[in-house]
Amino acid sequence: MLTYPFNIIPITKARSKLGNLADKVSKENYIILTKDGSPKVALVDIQYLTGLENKVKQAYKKTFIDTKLLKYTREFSDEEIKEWEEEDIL
Amino acid sequence: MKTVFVDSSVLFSAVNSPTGGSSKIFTLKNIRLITSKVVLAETERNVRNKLHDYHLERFFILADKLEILKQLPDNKLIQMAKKVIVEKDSVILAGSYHSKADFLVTLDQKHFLTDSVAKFLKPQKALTPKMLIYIIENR
Repeated sequence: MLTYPFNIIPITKARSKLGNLADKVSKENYIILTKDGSPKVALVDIQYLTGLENKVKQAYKKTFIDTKLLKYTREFSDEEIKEWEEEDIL
Repeated sequence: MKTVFVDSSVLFSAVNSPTGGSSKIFTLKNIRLITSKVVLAETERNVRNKLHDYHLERFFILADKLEILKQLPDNKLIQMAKKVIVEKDSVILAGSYHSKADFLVTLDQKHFLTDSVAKFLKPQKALTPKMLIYIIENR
């Protein structure tokens, strides 16, 4: 991440020019805001953030669906799901 | 400790509702919950198609509480199961029989809680989550 161009600005200085800083944020160009000299938060392009979140979800995607087993499975009908719900009430 | 084979109707319903009997069996102590790869694949397929994203997360949480059998579908057993149950349920019935569990827990009373299925499964017994809860809590 540090190979991308970015800026580091104390939160105290960022407050008065938040609008301008938001305009500078784009794709991989994000701005890190510091508090007491340490990184605290970042201003990130929302589309870029959403894309990153989706990539992480894909990377950690779990599944038990095995194409070899699909022929042994079936789709439940709405009617049977409703019957199960009624039978399941304690 | 009794071993309980969880079928797709119970796992799906436990995912769908946290207050029903299916969910409650995941909280019972002194039982071993097991299932097959087919049950997991079938349930996940239906959770993805019929329910919401947050249900999928719950599905994985509940799946972590199950012991997953390594067995693969046995076509010979499935053919035998078809003689005592409707075709759509034969894979699950064969899987439960193969597991040698003490109980098969299901919400499909109509097809699984019959005399012919009872004979097929013997000594394993098919019952609903409510019946299982009663047995375990009154032991």
